Amino acid sequence: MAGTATSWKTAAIAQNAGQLWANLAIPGTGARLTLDADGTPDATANPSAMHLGATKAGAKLMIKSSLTNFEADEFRAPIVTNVDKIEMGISAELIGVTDLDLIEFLLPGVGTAATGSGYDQIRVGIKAITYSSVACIFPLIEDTTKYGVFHIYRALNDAGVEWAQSRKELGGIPVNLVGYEITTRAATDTLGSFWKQIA
Amino acid sequence: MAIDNVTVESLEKKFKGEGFKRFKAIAELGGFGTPTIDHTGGVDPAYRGGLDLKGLRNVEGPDRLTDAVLAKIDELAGGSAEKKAKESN
Repeated sequence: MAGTATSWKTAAIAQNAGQLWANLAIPGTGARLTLDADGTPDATANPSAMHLGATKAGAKLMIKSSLTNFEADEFRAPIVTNVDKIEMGISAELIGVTDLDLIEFLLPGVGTAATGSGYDQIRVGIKAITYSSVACIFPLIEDTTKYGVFHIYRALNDAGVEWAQSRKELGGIPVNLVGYEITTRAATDTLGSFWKQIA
Repeated sequence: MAIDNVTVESLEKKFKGEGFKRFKAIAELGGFGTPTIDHTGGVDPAYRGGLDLKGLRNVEGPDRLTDAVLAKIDELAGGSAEKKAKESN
């Protein structure tokens, strides 16, 4: 009798720098973020795309669900479970502290950018909260001509903006991009997607 | 020529007074989700990057929308179908 082929998945690993993008277009039914051959968002399909810049230590990509278990008196273990909550997020520490378009993006509902002769400015107060379609795009190890995409359709940064301004330390802004559902999309596709290109 | 991306603003430039109506119709037909009005009266800001029509046209397999629906979306967006209709009128 033959055994079963092993699959160590040593090529399906994450070990490449990614790029963080915001203000992407929303994909339609069955579609994904349209990429250019160079792995950046296709410019005609995503004309407002904004690169969030370099990070101190890459990005952490997260999809989590919390399950609520239900028990019956006659059994010792839970007998059924239900998905209670879904979370999807991207966190990173961005170094582009003085890029004020970036700062405005990181301050939804709070920061308003202004520019004029000789200055760029962020004014802090209250305004409408803005969400954005964001993604982390990274080259695959299994095929460096192909890319993986972690895309949240509707997100905002809930970590505010803070950084260390010092001579000895490179200032970075910890950001936490949290996903919000687009409730009018298909039920299986309301929050985002994680996909990769294949041959 | 097919349109790759639409926003409310880009549609309003082409079709004055119909920007949101066309945007919403395209979003519904294409399964993008219906953009909700936020409390300032505008489109859900998550849609400010627009709707990716190029990606929608490139879908293959069972998820691909019918040619008729894609043509309708292109017409709403002001693509070649709409232009041909206007020229023939």
